[in-house]
Amino acid sequence: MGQRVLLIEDEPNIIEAIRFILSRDGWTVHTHSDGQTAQDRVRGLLPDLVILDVMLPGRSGFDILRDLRADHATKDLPVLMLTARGQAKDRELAEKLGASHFMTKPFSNAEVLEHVRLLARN
Amino acid sequence: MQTQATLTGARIRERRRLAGLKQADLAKIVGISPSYLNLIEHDRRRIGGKLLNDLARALGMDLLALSTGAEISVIAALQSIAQVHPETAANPAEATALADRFPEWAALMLKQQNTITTLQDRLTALSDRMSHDPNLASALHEVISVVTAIRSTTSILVEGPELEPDWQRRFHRNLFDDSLRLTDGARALVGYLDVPDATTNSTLSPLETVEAYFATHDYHFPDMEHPAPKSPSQSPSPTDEKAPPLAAPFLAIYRADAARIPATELAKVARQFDYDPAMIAAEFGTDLAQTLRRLASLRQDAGHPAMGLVLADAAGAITILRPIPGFSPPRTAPTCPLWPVFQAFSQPGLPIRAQVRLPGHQGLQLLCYAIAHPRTAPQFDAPPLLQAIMLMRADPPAHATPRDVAQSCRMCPHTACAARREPSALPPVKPHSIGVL
Repeated sequence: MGQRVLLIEDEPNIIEAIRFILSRDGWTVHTHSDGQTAQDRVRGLLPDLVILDVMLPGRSGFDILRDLRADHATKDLPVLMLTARGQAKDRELAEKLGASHFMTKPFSNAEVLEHVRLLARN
Repeated sequence: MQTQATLTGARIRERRRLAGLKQADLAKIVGISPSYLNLIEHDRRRIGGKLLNDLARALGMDLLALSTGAEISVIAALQSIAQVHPETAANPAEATALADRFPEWAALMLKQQNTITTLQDRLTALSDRMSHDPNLASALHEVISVVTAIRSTTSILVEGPELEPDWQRRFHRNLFDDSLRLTDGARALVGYLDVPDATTNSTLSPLETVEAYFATHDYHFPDMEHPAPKSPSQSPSPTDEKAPPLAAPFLAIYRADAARIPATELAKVARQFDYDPAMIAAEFGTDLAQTLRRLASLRQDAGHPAMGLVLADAAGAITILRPIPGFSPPRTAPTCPLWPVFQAFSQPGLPIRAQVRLPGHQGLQLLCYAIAHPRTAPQFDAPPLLQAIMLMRADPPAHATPRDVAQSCRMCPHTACAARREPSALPPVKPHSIGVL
């Protein structure tokens, strides 16, 4: 079984596309679509990497990231943030909260794959 | 220093030259000698009556414009424009000469400045909307999310190795669904950002539309005066179809005021008490705010003094219900806090009478009556919502020492004023009665 990635995203067709390209690359992809329960899912699964969307139903990805970094079990977990807003202040906030990398939608598949591989290796 | 009146000759000379007429030509038209016209043009002979009228007609000018020069409001507006661009070194003191000599160009400048101000306001409003509107943010997020899904899916279909037929069908289906979502999202976005209806006047803000409506009517609505006309066709309509929606509450107040203080009696009593609001209010048994509003409805062409009427809220926002030369606060910056309408907020219910003097304007003075009052019924555990009203009378009789006020700090020469917020762009003058209220 390959390394596990948890994709927290609420757009079904984005989930399907990312799941496909990561699975094809050998990853075991788990998905979750609700912001409110996302932290519990991360703690329960403890994946090798999390891909986290910012705008989620129930709770912001920034809030989830803040709690993950405050939790001893997940504070060092690699987190790749995805957002539709590419403003500098969002990027700065993501860095401040401890995101491992920050990507703006729409992104290329190659770019996602490259950073997932890079973060998991580190 | 030359006054408005003594510039009449210069205006005649300027307009004659613009018309391509020699002194002899114009003198012949109006039936005087060229040498006499020469004296007039150099302001060595004061003229009036028929000759002034003949000269105005011959030059295609309005009699009032020829005799008194440009309106004070035009000069003040030109001075304001000069302050906006100090790097041009345009001298505000030359605004009077500009307005007198080239009234059409002055009008053009003001029209363009109004357009610029309106566009800036709209740009600010749109910028706020783009930055803070949750509906717009949601619509954009929807479009970007769908575009992201389409890009990833097409990339899988085009760039990667050949897919299994089942996966291909699945992704094609996703693309079709996303294309429908993108269509809906794009339509919603276009509809949201669509330009306003071309039939509406988009160059004015809603508040300016209300002010323009009242200015057009000079705060006088004969159909709403009491008693109501007997003819059904002339009966007061509950709403004026041409009135902007935001004007409705003001018109309802006007109608109620007119019923309480009928126009005929008002005109008589106002003259009897020389337009003193307190005495007129006592005569009718009305409150002061209502009396001030009614006085503002008196028409100048019926022999009453020129009146202006403004409202202010506690945040300093001004609504001009009847404009008057001398009171033209800037739209994009705070006005002078020394106007009595703002002083009224310090003690709601206390009537304030103050004579004010404007900088420049040949010492223009206005007699102001102001009072602040609650707009809503008193409630426990809720702050009162206050409104101040100010009636301004032009050509006031001799009163107390006038208080110096201005349209804004930028247009005020009193550098030592305690209320100053920003530096003045005008040459300083000696302080008169400037100070905190």
